[in-house]
Amino acid sequence: MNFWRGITAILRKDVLTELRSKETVSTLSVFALLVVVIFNFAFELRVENAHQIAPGVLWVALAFAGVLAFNRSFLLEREGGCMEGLRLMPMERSVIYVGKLLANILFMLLAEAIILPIFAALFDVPILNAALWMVIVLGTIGFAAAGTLFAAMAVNTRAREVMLPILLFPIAVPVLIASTKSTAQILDGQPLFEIYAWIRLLLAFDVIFIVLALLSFEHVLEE
Amino acid sequence: MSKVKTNSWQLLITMTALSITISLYLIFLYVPSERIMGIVQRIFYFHVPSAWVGFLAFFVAFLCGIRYLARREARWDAVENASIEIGVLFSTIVLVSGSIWARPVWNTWWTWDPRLTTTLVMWLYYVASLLLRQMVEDKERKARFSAVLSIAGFINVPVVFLAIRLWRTIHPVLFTTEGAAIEPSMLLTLLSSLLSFTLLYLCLLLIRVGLASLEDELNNLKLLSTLHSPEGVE
Amino acid sequence: MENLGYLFAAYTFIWIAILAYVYILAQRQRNLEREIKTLRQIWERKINGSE
Repeated sequence: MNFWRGITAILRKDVLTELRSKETVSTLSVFALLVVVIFNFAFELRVENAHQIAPGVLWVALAFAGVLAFNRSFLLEREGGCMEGLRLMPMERSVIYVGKLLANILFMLLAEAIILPIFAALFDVPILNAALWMVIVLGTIGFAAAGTLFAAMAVNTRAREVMLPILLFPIAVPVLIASTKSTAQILDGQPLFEIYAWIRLLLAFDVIFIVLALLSFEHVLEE
Repeated sequence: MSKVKTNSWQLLITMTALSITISLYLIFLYVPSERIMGIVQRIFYFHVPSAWVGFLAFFVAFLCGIRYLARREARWDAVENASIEIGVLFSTIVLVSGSIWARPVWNTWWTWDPRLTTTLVMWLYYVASLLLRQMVEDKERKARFSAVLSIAGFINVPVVFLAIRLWRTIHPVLFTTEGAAIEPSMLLTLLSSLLSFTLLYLCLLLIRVGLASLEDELNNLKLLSTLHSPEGVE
Repeated sequence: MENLGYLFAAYTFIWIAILAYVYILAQRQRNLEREIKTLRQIWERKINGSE
C-alpha cells in the first residue's frame, strides 16, 4: 500500500507542477510539430506519399520530443535541489522510478493528443483507429521506460542534454522500428493479425525495461 | 608480480602467438578457396571470430556489471570497462571487415542485414556508454552507471536483433549470408581462428585490467601526497 | 584472384586496429609507470629529508 501511496504522491507533485507552469506539454507539442514541419520540407510530404513517410515522421518527432521530456523531468528536480528530498523518502527507490515514469507517459500522451489531430489534418491520414492508439500507447510506454531510467543517469553527467539521446536512441531501436512499421501497416489498412508480431515485440520491450529499471534504479539514485 | 603469475602470463602469450601463427597458416596456405566467392571469402576466418569476441566481451561486461552491483568491488568495474573497450574494438573490426567483404561479393559496402545492423546498433550504444564514463567524475558513481548500462545493453541485444529481422523480412531480402554446409577443412580453420581470437581477447583483457590497477595505484599515491604534503614541507 | 586487394585491405585493417590498440595500451602503461616512479621518489626523498 505504501508503494502506491509513494507513487501517487510523486505523480501528483509532477502533475501539479505541470498544471501551474504548463511548460512540458506545451513545449513538447510545439517541438514535435516543428519536427513534422521540417520533415515536410526535407521530404516533400504530400497527401499521395504521406502513407509511406508519415509514420516515420510521426515517430521521429515523438522520439525527439520524448528525449526533451525525460531530460526535463530530472533536470527540474536537480535544479530545484529536490533530488535530495526524493532520496530522503522512506521508500524504495523504484517508487521514484514508477512515479516519474507515469508522469512522463502522461505528459507524452497529452502532447500526442495535441499533435495527432494536426498530423491527421496535414497529411490526411485516418487516426480514428483503436489499433493505432494501442501502438502509440505501447510505443510511448517503452520509450519512456528506457528514457526515464537513462535520464536519471544522464542528468548526473557533465554533458547532460547530449548524453540521453545518444544512449537512448540505440537502445530504443526496437521501439522505433516496431512503432513505425506497425503504424504504417495500420494506415495501409492491413488487418490486425498482420501487426501482431510488432505488438508482441513492443510488449516485450516494455516489460523488459520496466523490470530492469525497477531492479536497477536503487543503484542509479544512490549517493 | 609473483612468479606463478608471470609464468602463466608468459604461457598465455606464447599460446596466443602460436595459435595465431597456426591460424594464419591454415587461412592462407592450407584451406581451399571457396568456389563462388573465391579468395576474398578468406576474410570470413577473421570476420566471424571478431564478431564472436565482440559478443563475448559484451557478455563478460554484462556479468561483471551484475557482479559489481551485487558486491561493489572496484575490480569488477575494471574488468567490465576493459571488456567493453575491447568489445568496441572488435565490433569495429567486424563492421569494417564485413564492409570490405561485402563490396566484391554483393557489390555494395553495406546491407541492412540483421546481424550487421545489430552489430552497428550495439557498437553505437557501447561507444555512447564509454563516453558516459568520461562524463562522470565520481569514481563510484561512474562504476554504478556503467554497470547498469552494460546490463541494459546486453539484455537489449536479442530484442534489437528480432526487431531488425522482422523489419527486413517485410522488405524483400536481397542477400543472405547463410552458406551451404561447411567443409571440414574450412571448419577446422574457423575453429582455429576462433581459439586464437579468444586467447587474444584474454591477453588484451589482462593488459587492460592491469592498466586500470596502475591507474588506481597512481591515484592513491597522489592522494597520499596531497594528504601529507603540509607536514612534509620544511 | 582479382579480389586479392580486398582480402589484403581487410587483413591489414584488422591487424592495424589490434596493434594500434596494443600500442596505445603500452604507451599508457609506460606513462603511468613513469609517473608512479617519480611520485615514489619524491615521497621517499620527503621521508628521508624530514628525518
